[in-house]
Amino acid sequence: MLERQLWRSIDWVTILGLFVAAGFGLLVIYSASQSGPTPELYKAQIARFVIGLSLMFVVMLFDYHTIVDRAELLYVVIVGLLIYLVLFGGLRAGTNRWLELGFGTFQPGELAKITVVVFLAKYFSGVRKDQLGTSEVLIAGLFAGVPLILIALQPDLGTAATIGIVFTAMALLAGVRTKLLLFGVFVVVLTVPLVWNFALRDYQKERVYSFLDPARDPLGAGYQSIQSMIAVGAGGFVGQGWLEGTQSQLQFLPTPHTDFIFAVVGEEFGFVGVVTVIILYLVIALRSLETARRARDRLGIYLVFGVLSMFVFQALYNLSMVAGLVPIKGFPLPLMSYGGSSLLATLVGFGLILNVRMRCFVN
Amino acid sequence: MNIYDDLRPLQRRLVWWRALFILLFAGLVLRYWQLQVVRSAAYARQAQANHVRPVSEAAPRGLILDRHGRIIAENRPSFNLTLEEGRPETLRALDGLVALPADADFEAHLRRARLGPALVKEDLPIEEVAKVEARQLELPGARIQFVPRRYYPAGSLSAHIVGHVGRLSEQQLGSDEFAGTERNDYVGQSGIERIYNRPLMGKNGVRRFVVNSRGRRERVLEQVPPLWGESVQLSIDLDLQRVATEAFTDKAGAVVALDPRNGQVLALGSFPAYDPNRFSGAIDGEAWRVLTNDPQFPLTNRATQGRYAPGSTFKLVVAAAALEEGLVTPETKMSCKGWVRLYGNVFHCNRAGGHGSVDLVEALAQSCNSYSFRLGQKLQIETIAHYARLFGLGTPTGIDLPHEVSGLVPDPEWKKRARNEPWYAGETISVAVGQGAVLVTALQMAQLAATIGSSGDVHRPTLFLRRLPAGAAPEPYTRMVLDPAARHVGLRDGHWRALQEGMFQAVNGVGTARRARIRGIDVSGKTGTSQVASRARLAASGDADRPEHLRTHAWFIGYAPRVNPEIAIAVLVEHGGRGGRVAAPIAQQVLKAYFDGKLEQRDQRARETTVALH
Repeated sequence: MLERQLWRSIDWVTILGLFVAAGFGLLVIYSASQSGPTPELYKAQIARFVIGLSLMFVVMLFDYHTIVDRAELLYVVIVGLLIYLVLFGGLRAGTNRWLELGFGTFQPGELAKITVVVFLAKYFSGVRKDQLGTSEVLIAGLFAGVPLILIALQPDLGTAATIGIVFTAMALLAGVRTKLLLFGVFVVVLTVPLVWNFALRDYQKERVYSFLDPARDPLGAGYQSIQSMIAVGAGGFVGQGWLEGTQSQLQFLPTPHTDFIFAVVGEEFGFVGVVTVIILYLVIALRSLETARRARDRLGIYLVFGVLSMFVFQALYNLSMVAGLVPIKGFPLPLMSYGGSSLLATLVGFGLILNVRMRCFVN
Repeated sequence: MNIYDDLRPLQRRLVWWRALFILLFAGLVLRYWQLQVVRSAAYARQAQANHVRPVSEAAPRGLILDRHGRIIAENRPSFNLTLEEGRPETLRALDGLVALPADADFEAHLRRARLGPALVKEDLPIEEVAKVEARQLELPGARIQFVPRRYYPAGSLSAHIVGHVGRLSEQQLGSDEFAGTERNDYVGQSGIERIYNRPLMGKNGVRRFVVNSRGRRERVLEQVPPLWGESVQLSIDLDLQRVATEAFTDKAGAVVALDPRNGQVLALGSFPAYDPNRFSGAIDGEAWRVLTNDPQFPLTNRATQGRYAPGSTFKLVVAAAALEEGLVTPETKMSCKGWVRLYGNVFHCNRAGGHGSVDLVEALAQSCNSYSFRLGQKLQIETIAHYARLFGLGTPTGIDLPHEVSGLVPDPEWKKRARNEPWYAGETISVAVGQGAVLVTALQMAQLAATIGSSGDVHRPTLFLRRLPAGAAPEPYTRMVLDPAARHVGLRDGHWRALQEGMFQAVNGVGTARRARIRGIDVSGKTGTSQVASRARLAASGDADRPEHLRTHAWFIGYAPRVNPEIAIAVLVEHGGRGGRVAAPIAQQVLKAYFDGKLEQRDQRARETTVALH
């Protein structure tokens, strides 16, 4: 199946980047969970990383055209799962985003993001023009919108927003006429107050309020943001050292091993560690953009860019959230945060990117 | 497979995305630079405030000792219950476990607990300490704190000397007097405890704990042990203090005994007294109300704050004025027929039948009013006031106790100012026998007796004897350097002798102070009986028949021995009746105790010497 030539064209630089990011993530997860009730968390994360890598290689085995041929099937299965969750899903942590499997839980939302990327890549690559027409934007928007709304109903606004961002980024890459673009912006501007008044729940509004003014309720909703910034700021230039961060070790930092793992990086490894990780993510991103540029067909470009926009958006949002620049939203930092679904989805996504790069000269 | 395969438009757009990514990531780097480099110090401080919790450890106050080294004030161990986090459930659990005061304000406790340790209960009984310690795990945030607490073994005996300690009030926090103190500190609120508060206080220690977000103490970061305050030795003799206190059983008044040679106060009492130990802990509102509303004012120090008419003891001042002004000589005789008519009024002598013909010395010994009335007639009020001030009346003596009052030496200027009335000549006659507007304190009168006994030496009365440095760094004593140059009142020698002879005869001859006599000791003294109401109101009834609050105050001032006196004394018994009958015996007991104690010490030294020789 995998010919010698293909094997040789595997992008080892990106794979190395993934290993470094995930490895550093394990180090920080270890530190962040030491004072908590479950200091063994890192072991589970290693297992997930191994599973994720295996899935990534499985994805790399088959030509991406073969995978994309099954996009419709994948799409129907995922939408079915999402409908099932909305109707019958057991509540977990106040939401319906978890699917109980025999051996554990999984968030179909993560898989839905990949599916939307694959589906949109297939659809956009079928449009044989330099720019999308209005009907094509609407059709693509409909296909992205169905899982988006189902996920938003769970409610998991983070994942829903990611799908929206991925759709927007891919559409912009495909080319949108200026008039249509302006109209889109207009619609979004109109929608925001409606969403604010009718769709957002109180705790979600509170997050926005406390983002705008963290001092409003420093022990309540603003607490996480303030403690995160204190951790990062107190880290200084070189950091307080591994296992030495007072904010994380003494549990002032909320969820230090998942959403706020980067605050631990900031506190224990300082500005040096922060810049190192940011550069690492930028290198991975630019490397993937290069892959997109080299892709041998439009499908490859869309596929790579879709996965990449998803990855970059989540990373940027998480890093901005830790720095107190955006409201707190349950976004993990891809590759580093503790958690299975996100890691698996990210690695499967990179399986697609590597897949495209491996096969850019073949035809 | 797609037929349309022009990749260039997409590749062109990818370049824009590349620029956008770089821009966004670079923006993040800038933001982290701002947080971690520019504002790092401020965030580091906040992180520190998050996890470092300083807990102050109260320093034991220095001891207060009497002149023989006996303890007047010491410390006993005690335990306080504090709440460190605003956890209502802990407070509720505590409520059942320990007896909280009925007026405990839970909301206030919780509010304060969020800022730092909040005091929930002071001085817990040991059973409650054990209960709370045993349930530490069920009571997050509740802590038992060890605190040294002031204890006065002599109780009310020393109340008006040592004063008492109390929690620093909101107004005192940050005042100059209490600079360097912390909230919740106990400081001297009156007496010696207040005057020498600074050296006595020592320096609080601190333990800095590392706490986690739930307030659990993880480890001690730093520990600075508390430093003991310096001990202060007083010139007070607890034995004399006890004798005086016992003599005043069921009586109100004051006693001051001091050493005329240096002003050291040997005994100072105000009666009724109170138990200063009641203030060492959290004094409950009820007990405080009882003390402040007591009609006998136990909290007032009558020796330094009580203002009384001096009565006949003031005749000494008037006699000194008349002698120095050359109006009379010690031998000048005047006749007393029991009353004198002056300025159209009849003034009565204390002996209805009159003293007959007496000279100045006899007049002092027998306290003849007629003689003093005539002196008052010869003297100007301004002259009397001048001599009274010369003896230190009308101004605080400057003793090392807070809130001493000055008394009052009246003159026309004062009357104009205070009452907007002219001075009447008849008033001078009243002042001549220590009535009218003239007011003195027992301390001033003891100092006056000392001045006469030592022929003119005026020393500032002082309780401080020496400091006994302990762990704390020496603090500058505000009152450490005592006035070395004693003031001297310059009367002619013969005049001093006349006053002294009058006082000696009052005790040992035909005089009013015979009840102060001690076999073998040359006691000199002068009695006084001061009226608290006008003669008209008292009508003709005898003093003993009157309601108590209208009875006269009884005075005795004196010194011993006659030559080079070692002890001067003033005794005042409020509404006690006649000075010779009530005040003189008390003075006699105190003086006797003083000389007995001296003999005892001499014998002891002799025994020790004998033992050493063998």
